[in-house]
Amino acid sequence: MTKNSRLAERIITVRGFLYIAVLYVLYTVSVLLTCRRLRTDVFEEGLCFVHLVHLILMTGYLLFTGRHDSLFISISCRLRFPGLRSLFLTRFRFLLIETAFFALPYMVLICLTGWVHGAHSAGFLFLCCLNVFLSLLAAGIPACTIQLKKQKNYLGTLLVWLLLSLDYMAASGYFAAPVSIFYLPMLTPFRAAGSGTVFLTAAGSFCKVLLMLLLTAAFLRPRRSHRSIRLNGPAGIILRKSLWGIPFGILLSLFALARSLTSPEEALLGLFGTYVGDSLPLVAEHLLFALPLLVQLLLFGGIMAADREQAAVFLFTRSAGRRQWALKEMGTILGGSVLFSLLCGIFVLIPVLLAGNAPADPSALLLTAGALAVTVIPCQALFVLACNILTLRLSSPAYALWILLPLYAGGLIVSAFGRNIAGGIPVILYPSAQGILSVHNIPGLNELFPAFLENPIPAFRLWISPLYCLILSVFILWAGVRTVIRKDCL
Amino acid sequence: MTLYLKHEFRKAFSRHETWIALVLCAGLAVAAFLEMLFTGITEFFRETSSSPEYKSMLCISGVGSIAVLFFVPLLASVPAACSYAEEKTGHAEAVLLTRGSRRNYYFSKAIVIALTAFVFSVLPFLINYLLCLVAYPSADSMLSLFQQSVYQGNYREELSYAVFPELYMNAPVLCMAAHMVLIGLWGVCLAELTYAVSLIYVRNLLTTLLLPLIFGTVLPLIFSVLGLRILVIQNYFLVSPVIPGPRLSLILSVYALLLLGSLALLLRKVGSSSGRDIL
Repeated sequence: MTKNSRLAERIITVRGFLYIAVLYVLYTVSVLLTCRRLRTDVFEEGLCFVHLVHLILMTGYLLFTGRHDSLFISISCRLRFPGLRSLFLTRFRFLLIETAFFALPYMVLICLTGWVHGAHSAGFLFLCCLNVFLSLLAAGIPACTIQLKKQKNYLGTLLVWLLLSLDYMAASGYFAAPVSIFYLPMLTPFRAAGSGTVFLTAAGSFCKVLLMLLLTAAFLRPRRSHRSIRLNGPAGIILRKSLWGIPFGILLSLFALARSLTSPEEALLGLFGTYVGDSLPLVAEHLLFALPLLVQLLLFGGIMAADREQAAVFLFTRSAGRRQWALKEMGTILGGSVLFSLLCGIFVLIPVLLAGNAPADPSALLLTAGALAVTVIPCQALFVLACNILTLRLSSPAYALWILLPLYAGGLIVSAFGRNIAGGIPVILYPSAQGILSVHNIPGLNELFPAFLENPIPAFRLWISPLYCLILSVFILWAGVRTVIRKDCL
Repeated sequence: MTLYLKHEFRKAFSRHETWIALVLCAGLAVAAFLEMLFTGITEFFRETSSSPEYKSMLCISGVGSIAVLFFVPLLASVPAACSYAEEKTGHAEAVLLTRGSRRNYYFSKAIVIALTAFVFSVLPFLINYLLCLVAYPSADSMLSLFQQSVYQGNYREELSYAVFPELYMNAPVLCMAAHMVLIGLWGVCLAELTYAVSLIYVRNLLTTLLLPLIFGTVLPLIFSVLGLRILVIQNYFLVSPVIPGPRLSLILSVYALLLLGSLALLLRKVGSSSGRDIL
């Protein structure tokens, strides 16, 4: 008896069949009762009730696959596989079979209702069934991957169920914007008019499965230990950290969508805290203004101090010199910070545009993005660099934060009250007010937000800001090199 | 335990950062007071609010709103929350652990962190209140309450916005004190979270300090995305909240969850380190 057939015997059991049968009986009865309550005679519509699919079918599916995962987690099973990847590949084969078994009654219901009502072609029904199968698989893959990696029973089941609960809430209209990426594509094809839409949805589900497999491959890759002392600089790690800009940008865009900042220009300005619409309080403006910087400080703020504390004796005795080390480290931090901001900006725009919000004035959007790229992004990168140097120099991160946070947050206050003082020169010279000033000078935006973007400073030109950042960066780099050379690190 | 507590308190107040934090507390209170004095916010609140105590809340000023978001978490965490990370990186942990039990060592730190965090979170508000009392000696609360005609003010609606409606009407000073306790508890939660993070991650002190601060600022964003504005903690710090029907039990549940999470990490650390060779 081979290893696979032994596993198959444990997975495909009579008890499993009974479990699926009971679950579908419960589901069908619930759909019938709900249809009766809603006074609808069309059972087909009942198949799209999101709450029943989520609470009964999806929960049941995740528990069904999670129970089988516990077999693969057991040490007796793991020992028989050379690595985690081969274990996952075997698990994936069984997951395909389990998903097919689980989805089969649902597919039968789809075909049955389609046949009874006679409104859909065979191809349409096949694509609907395929879409359901792929959607279930897209939920099952991450659940079993997490369980295999972390070796905890039902951990992935719980996490995926929680995420799907958020999607269920989005699909049910609990949020201001319907941003459901799972349930709406899974269930809307029944209501779709043509086969083309169903084909596109099924293709989207296939892409989701592929994406999940790619993420699984990345998740199961053996990780290198970063605890060893790095003599070649932390460039790779820093640049990898900047990828956090993607989820952060998506979170901000969700906030923008939830708060009805639906125009891409508004969302982009909101990200940098320069404009958050009339519906939000002042606190939200402060929060959004400083949050990107805070996250960057978290990711890149104490890198130089940490490296110096842990590896100074190895770094400075082996590298060409302290100056080279400092310049290389600071350059990498600057690059990482700029990349983070760019990714963040791009991923704020993408969901807003995907939600169907076209820019009111494309040229104004491009100008806004360009203006923010040459003003706010370098400014934030310089603040991150300054935080590294101050932490190194003052020996405590608390001092660096106490100096830099009020300095940065003060940009809003200075730009609000300092315009009439000495022709606005204090605002022009204030580092964190550059982004606010630059967007006030864009003609298209003035027409879009006339109440907000008024009273620009006549002396300000957009080229002043990058030049100012360049001079400031040279000064900070000089101060950084000087700090590293003079400070006794050993 | 007493030995450790004494040591932790002595250590907390021998640090330069603690004294600078005290100066910052006073600075924030004075800045907010001056802002209210010169920008006319006080006059506005004197005319519109039903009790004179509300004008002396730090939160209503611009400086105060920034302080609640960015400074209270830092002020709460700086005096003691990073002490474990410093002892771990400086290898002082091994010396201290041999003088008592591990449980006492970790829990005495948690107690000192909670106390200092509470004091440092509430201090700017208290100083600001004292300054306001000097500048505007408070009139009788009920007198000011009825400055407006009963036909002009809609007190039923106003009460529906209050977190503590009975105190809001009858004892404004106690109401303000209760709000300060809420702020202090928020500081305690964030400082304990900082401590819990430092138990896991000690490589970079800046990360340890910033993570709870960012958590405290991202949380309102997430609640806003989910449409749960009633759970945005910062709204509850205002004596006249901006959300109708605030529910104190929800906020206390969030606090309890945060504290329980920190406690779980602490117990995990105590459990994992017991029986391990100190050196």
